[in-house]
Amino acid sequence: MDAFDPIPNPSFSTKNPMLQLYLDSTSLNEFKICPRRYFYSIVMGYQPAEQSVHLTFGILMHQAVEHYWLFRLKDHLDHLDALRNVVREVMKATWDYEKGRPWQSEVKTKNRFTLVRTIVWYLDKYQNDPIQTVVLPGEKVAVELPFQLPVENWQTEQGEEFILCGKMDRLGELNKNRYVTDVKTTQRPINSAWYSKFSPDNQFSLYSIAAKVIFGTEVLGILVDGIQVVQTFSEFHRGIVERTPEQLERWLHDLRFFLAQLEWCATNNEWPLNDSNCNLWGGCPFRGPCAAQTKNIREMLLKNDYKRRVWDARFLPM
Amino acid sequence: MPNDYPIPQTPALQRVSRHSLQELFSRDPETYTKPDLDEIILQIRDLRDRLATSTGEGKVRQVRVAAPMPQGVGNPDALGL
Repeated sequence: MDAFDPIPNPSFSTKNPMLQLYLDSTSLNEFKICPRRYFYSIVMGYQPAEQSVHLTFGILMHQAVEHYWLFRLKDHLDHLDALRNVVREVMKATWDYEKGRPWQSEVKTKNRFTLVRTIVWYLDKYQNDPIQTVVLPGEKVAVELPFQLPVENWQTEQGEEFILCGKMDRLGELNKNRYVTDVKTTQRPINSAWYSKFSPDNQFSLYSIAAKVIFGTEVLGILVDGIQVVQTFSEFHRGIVERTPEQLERWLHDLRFFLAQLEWCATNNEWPLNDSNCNLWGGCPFRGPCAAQTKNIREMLLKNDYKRRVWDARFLPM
Repeated sequence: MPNDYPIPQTPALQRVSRHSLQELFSRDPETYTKPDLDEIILQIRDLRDRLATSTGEGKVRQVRVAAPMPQGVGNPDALGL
């Protein structure tokens, strides 16, 4: 297979195969950062051969919290039984069965031990969470909520719709107000400045809109459990990131600009490089291929140093 | 195979425990029994409690809830801790 042969992806248009119609916050974010980066990571499906430790840690932390609340609210287990199940799952998920050894992490603050420690301390702390999980019609517990939301009043040149997608952790109620809940981990101290980085924020705006439209419930924003993880301890904070209707309207308005750009790029198969963002967030993972001096070297780097996967943004209900 | 990162030892617990955290973390998780998992949880809780005691924070801090904060600003001191 050639380095730039597309791989079938059900998130993409059948009429314009380079155009992604089902868009999640990750895809949108990648495109907003840099069209070339988006092309590599989402359209072509490349990712570094070794997944980022921070990403792995974050995914496993999310899964642990989601599964814990499903054990508690759906299966009606008590705290210890639910916690024990979650610890078992995490220990299995971080075991390399092929090599017969634990997950190897080069980051001192984020490894198998700090992950399990963080999960146990976090779930112990919030076992009697003041946030009440919303129960949706049909007695569905509002945990792990996939959504698909068509973009109104906007069609592609081929007459197709864009669909915004995602999966919320939990919909909760606190002091008679409703929030989407989320968990974020960091190595840095958590304070007001840390919370302020989520306003504006692509994912949180999208999820606030989705909660309102899909679940028919007004939400004030995202209730974020910020977790500081360092080598010797994990510390927990809770803060609210609000969104007003005006802010969300503005986000949707601006979205149309990016959708128009996305369609232009896909139609013309042109993915301009935004070289102002190559150094942000610890450096772009595609710096190597972008810096390659020839097309042959670029293709060789992509084939050797990256693996391909299909980024299906639809988050189909499980 | 040993872990490639330090796992704090808990001397007080090790005297009464069947396995250390280090041993438990080095084992294939398919072999875990319910007591093994409880042992992991207990020893990790013990680390938290010893840390809380050493920093004078007490073992468990009660969750309290305050009113929502100004728009777009999180205030971790007002919620949850």
